[in-house]
Amino acid sequence: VSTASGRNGDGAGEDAGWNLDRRTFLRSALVGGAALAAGGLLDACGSSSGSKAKTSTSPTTGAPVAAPKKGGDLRVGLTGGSSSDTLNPFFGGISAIGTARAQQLYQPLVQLSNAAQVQYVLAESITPKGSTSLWTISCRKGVTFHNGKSFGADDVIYTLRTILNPKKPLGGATVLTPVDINGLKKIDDLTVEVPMKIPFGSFPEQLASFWYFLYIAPDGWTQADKPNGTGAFKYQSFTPGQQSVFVRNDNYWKSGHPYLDTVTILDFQDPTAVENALVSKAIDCTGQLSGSQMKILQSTPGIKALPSQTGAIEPFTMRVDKAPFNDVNVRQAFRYIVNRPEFITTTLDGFGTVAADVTSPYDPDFDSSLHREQDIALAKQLLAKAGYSRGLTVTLDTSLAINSSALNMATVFKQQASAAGVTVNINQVSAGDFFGPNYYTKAVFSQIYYDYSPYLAQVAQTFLPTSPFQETHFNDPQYTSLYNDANKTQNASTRKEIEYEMQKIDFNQGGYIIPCFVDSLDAYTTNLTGYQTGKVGEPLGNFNFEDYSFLS
Amino acid sequence: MTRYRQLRTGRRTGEPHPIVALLVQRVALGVVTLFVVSVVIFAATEALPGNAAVAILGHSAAPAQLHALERQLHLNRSAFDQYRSWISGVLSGHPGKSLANGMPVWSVVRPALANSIVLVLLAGVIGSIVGVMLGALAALRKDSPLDHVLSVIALAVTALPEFVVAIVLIVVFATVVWHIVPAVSLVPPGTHAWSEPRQLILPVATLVVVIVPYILRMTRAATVEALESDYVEMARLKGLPTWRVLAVHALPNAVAPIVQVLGLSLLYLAGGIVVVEFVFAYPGIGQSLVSAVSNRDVPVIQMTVLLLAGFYVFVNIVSDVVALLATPRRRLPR
Repeated sequence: VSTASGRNGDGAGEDAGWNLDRRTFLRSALVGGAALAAGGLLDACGSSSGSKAKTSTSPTTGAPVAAPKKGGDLRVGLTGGSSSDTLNPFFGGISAIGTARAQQLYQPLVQLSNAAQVQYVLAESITPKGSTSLWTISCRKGVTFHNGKSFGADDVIYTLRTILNPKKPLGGATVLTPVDINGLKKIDDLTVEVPMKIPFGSFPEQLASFWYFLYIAPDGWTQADKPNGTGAFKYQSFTPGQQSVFVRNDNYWKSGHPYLDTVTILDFQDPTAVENALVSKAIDCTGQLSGSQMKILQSTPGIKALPSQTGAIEPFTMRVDKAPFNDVNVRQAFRYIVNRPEFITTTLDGFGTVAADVTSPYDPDFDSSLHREQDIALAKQLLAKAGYSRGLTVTLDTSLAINSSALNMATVFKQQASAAGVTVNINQVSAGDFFGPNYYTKAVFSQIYYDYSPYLAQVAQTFLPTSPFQETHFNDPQYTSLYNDANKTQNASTRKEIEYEMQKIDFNQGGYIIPCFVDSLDAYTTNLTGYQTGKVGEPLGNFNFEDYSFLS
Repeated sequence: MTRYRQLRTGRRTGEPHPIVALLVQRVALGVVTLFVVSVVIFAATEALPGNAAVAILGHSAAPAQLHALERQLHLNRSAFDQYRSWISGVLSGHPGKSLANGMPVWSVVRPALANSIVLVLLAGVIGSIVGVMLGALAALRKDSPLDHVLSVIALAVTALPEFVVAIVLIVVFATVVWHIVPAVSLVPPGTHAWSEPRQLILPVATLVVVIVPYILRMTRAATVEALESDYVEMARLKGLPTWRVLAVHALPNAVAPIVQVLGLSLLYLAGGIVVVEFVFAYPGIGQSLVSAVSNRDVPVIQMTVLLLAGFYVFVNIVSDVVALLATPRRRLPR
C-alpha cells in the first residue's frame, strides 16, 4: 500500500532544480523501507514452526467453585472482522467474529454443544412423525425476543422460509435442501410440522452443525430492523470492522444467566496486536491463536492459555474426476505419504490430534478402528500401479483465505511427498480470489477448512453429487445410496452399520487427505472464569459468554 | 520588507508574479494528477482478483448465494459504468456507498481520516522539532563525539522498518519489560483517538523514531554548509554569540532543504501510518484502506486513495512554495 502511495506522489510533484534527485532518492529509500516493513510483517505472520513436544490438551474447564459473581464488562478481541460484517442473523456464520456476535444476540433451534453433540436450544424436541420424511418441531415455552415478542411457531416458519427463499437463498439453504418449504405447517403456537422432499433422518444433527446459519429471527424481521433475538445479550451498538457492544438481557430464559453486564467484541486485523492487547490486559480473552503464540502465552503470567481438542479439519482435497486423482491408487498413495505426527508438530506446533482421512470423530457412529500411518514404500507401489513409477508432478492451490496455517501445511506436504517421488508445485492464490469462481471447487488439488460436523452433515455438504461444497467432486452411486439409506432408517444400530460402511469408502477411496484434527487455541486473563474447551472448532468454547464471569 | 521590495522591482511587466504562476501551474498539474490517479486506482481495483461478493461470503459462497449477492451489489455492471457513476458522484459531492456495508463512503472514511490526521500531525510536528534541533546541534558540534553518536544512531534507525520499531517499543514499554502505556489503541467508535491521549503515545513515538533520522541528517548537512559560509565567518568574527549565529544567520539559509525534507517526511508519514496503524490496531485511514482492499470495497478504496493523493499534491505544492520563498535568489524571475 505504501508503494502505491509513493507512486501517486511521483505523479504529483514534478520538482524543479536540484531537489529532484535527492527527493527521488529519498523517497525511493523511504518506500523501500516501507516495503521492508511489509516483508517483515509477512514473515511474522507466516512463522509458526518449531518442534516441541505436544503439550497436554486434555479438556479442562475454568468452572468456578463458588457462585459466579454478577456484573462486569467483558472485552473480547478477535481477528477476521471486516467492514462488510452485519448483525443479520442469517449471516452469523460467515466468520468466527460474526459467529461471536450472533451467538450473543440470537439462538438456533439446536446447536452443537461444546462436547460436539446435538443440544436443544430454542427447540424442545425435533422428532420424526411416522417416517423420516415428516418432522415435528416443538418450540420452547416462555422464550421472548429482546423486544418483548414471545417466540413460537410463526418465527420458525418465517426463518425457514427466509433462508430457503428460492430467489435469494441464504447460507443456511444448503443444509435445508430436503425441506419442502411449501408444506410447512403450523400445528399450534409452539408446534411446526416440517415435511421433507426426501427422507431426512439426520435433520436434527444437520440443523445443529450449521446452527450459525440457522438462527431464529422473529416473524417479519427484515434487515432494516434493529437486531432482535432471544439471546443472553441485547444489541447496544455495532460498528462493522471495529467493535460491537451487547448488554445483558434481563429477561433471558435461562434463569440466573448471564452474569456479565456487557460484552464488547473488538475487531483486530493483526494477530500480534491481539496477543499484545491480551498481555497488556486491554482485552480479557481471545481465540484463533497460532501454535507459536500459544506457546508464548502459556508461559505469560496472568494469562490462562487453553487449547481445545476439536474435530475441525483442514484437509487436502483431491478431485476424483480429474487426472491424476481419478485413479484411486494415486489418492491412496497421497494419503500414505503423510507422516501425521510430524505434520502436527511442524505445522501446528503440536496442537492437533492424528486423523485417518475420515471426518467427524465425535459422532456416535464414528468408526474409531480406522488408522493410517505413513508408508512411503506402499505409496510408491500404488503410484507405480497407477503408471507413475517415474514420479508424478502436481500443483497444489492454496491460500491464506483457507486458514493461516494453510501455506505451512502445503509446504510440509510438499516436503513429505518428495520422499515418494511426487513433486508438488505450490500455487498460492490471493485471499480475495480463492473462494471465487476460478479456484474453490475447480482446483484439482487444493486445501480447505471445516469446523466439526456430525458425519452425515459433513457428507451432505461435501461428498454427494448434490453437495454445495464439492471440492472433491466425489460421486459414488453406492455411497450416495448408503447416505439415503442412513436417512431413511429410524433404527440407530442399522444406521450405525450403514455409516461404518460409508466411512470405509471414505477411508479407501475418498478425496480428502485429513492428516489431523486441528486444536482450537484460546487464551483468557486469569481474572475470568466460566469458560470451557470446545470440540467444534469455534473459538472461546462456542462464544458462550453467558457462562463467563469475573473472579473479582 | 526588503525581500518583498526586491520581489516587486525584479518583476517584469505583464508577467504574473513567479509564485502565483507556480501556484497556478502546480494546482492545474495537481488536478490532472488526481484524475489520472482516480483512473489508475480504478483500473487497479478492477484488476484485483475476486470481487466484493466473494470477499463477503468467503467459504460460504455456494454459487447460488454468490450470484444473488453480486446482483444485489450491482457488480454485474461494466467497469466503465461503475467508474462513470462513481466519478460523477465524487464531483457532485456524493461519493456513493460502501459495497461492504451500504454506509455512505464519506461516513466510513471521515472518522478514520480524523484519527490519521492527528497521528500524522503530531508525529510530524514532534519529529520536525526534535529532528531540526538535533540536526542543528550536530552541525554546531561537527566531528565531536556527540555528532558521531547521533550520526550512527540515525543510520542504524534508518535501517529499521517501522514495523520493527513498533514491536521494540511495544515489548519495552507495553508488554514485556514495563506496562506503562497501552500496547494497542482501542478507540471506541464515535470517540476520537485524542480523547484517550495515552493511546497515541506508542504510535506517535514509532513514527517520530522513523522520521527523525532523515530530518536530523538533512538539517545537519544543510546547517554545516551554511556554517561554513563567508557570512557566518563574518558573524563569528563580529563576536556574535553562537546561538545567534546559528538561529539568525545559519538556519534561515538552510531552511529550503529542511522544508523539503519536512515535506517529504509528511508524505512518508501518510504512507507509513498504514503499517503503524495495523500494528497498533489504530482505527485510521491506513487500517480502513487495508480492510477496504481485502473487502474489494471499491468506492472506499477510491475515496481513501484519492484523499491520500490529494494530500501528496497539497504537501508538495506547499513545500515547494515555502522552499522557494525561503530562497531569495531562486524566487526571482530569470
